[in-house]
Amino acid sequence: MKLQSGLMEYLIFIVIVMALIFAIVIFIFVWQFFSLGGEQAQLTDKKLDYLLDAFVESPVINNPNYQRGLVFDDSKLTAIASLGPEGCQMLESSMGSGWYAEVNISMIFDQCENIRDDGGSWWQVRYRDCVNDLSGKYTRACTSANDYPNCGVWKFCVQNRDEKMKYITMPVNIYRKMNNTVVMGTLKIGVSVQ
Amino acid sequence: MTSTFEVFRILLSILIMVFILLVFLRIADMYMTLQTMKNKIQTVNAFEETVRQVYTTGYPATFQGFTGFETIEYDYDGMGNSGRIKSDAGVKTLDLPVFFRPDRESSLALEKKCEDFGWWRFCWVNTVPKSMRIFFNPVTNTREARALILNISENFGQTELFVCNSTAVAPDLPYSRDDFSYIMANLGYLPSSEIDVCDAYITEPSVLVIIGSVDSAPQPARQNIIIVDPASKKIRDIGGIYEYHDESDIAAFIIGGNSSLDFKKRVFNQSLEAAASVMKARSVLLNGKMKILNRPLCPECPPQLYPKECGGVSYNGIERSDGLFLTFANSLDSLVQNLNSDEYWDELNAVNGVYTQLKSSGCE
Repeated sequence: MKLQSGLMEYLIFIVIVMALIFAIVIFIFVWQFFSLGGEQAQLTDKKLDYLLDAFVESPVINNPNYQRGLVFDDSKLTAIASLGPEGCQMLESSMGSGWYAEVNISMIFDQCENIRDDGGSWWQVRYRDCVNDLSGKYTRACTSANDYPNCGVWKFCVQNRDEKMKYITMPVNIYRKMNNTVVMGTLKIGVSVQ
Repeated sequence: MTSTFEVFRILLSILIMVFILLVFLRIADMYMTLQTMKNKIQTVNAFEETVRQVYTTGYPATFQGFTGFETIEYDYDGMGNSGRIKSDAGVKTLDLPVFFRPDRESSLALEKKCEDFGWWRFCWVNTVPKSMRIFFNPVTNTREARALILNISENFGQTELFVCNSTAVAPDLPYSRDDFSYIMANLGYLPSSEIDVCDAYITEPSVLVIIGSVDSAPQPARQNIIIVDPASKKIRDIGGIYEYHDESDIAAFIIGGNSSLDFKKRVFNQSLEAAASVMKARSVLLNGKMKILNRPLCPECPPQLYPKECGGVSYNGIERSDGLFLTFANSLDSLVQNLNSDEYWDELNAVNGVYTQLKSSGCE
């Protein structure tokens, strides 16, 4: 009887030790797994950063008269948007795939255009007359040549858009080719989270 | 006296200890493999990140390299415009145009280069081992050959460059870019007959570039010797003769041989086709719509300071761009149709010409 209980005690001890070892092993591998997941999240952030840089730098989107980039040309944006999936494919060829982007006009002082102070020097603009008018034409999407220039929203690679996307937004300048003016806008980029 | 239980316990203990030891060894091995793999994946990801930074910022960079890797190769996706890094860490596709000569021993120099056509810009990243040196041997010592060498060297801003004559290599180490420029400038005083084929034994990853005729110069005996013939615009290596168009083609060839040159041509054409379709759509969009006020911003200014007019028909003080944008769109169309023909570069020059006209007309 004493022999049996001693054996049982010993076996139970061994089982506990084995269970501990396996628990430690599982912990190590789960930890590794989660650290790889963190790595993946970092990759998504890095891809977003890269896409922002790529948009800001891209000669296909920016106006060439602004050498330092960051001034989108509305006619180029419209041309790419009007090409649909082909335009998306073109952007993907230099920026990689698995993203969605949207450019919006966020501020436009409609009444300031071509206003000069009659009594003063030629460069004095009467700011009191400026109105930030974002109604109507500037909230319309530019999807074809017919919309241009009475539109202010450009969407690219809409087919890549899904619910599991991580977004980043930044302010940008948009050159209005027809008016020869620069307005403020926002660039929103979404990347698929794997 | 030892009881049966004691013997059983000792035996079982030994068995379990051996089992635990084996399990631990196996786990340690798996963990080490996993860690090594993770480090390698991180290295490849870091390389991709460095490439992206160089591409977007334009600043050259150094990457610490792939030391510890058992294999590292770079090839090009046959259909698309991407390169693939094949290594112990698996296959990684690079989205950007990258010309890459992998090396496990040395750190890498990364540099962005661009060809600017005004209406379109094509950029790529050159990545070469820091230990790579380029030896030029201008057997044909003409002004064009020397200009070609200087233009090729601009693609390798962080690479050591030398001129080789017979077995002599100049400048001697320690080396500086100024020394190379000085030697190049002085080559102008030397007749071709005084420059012999380079016999110095140049080991990889360094490359010997002979500027001469692909037919008359001695044939390349090793993988790292190439002959560039500016007269016929051909390159010869141990594998055959290939056509090039400009110095960036030669640079791509120096980095990765014929597959790299093929990739450069393919990715250039794809990028050009894409840019042409956007610019064509844009030109059609702007044609007839674009109006620029023909009213000087400062009436007291001399006429040369007036804003430029976007040429075409004048109507009620408004200049319209009718015609010019359409001409540009048509020239782009013609370019895309001739992408794979002999007239390709003539068409590209024609497009650049119309764009220059657009710019000088104040439409851009």
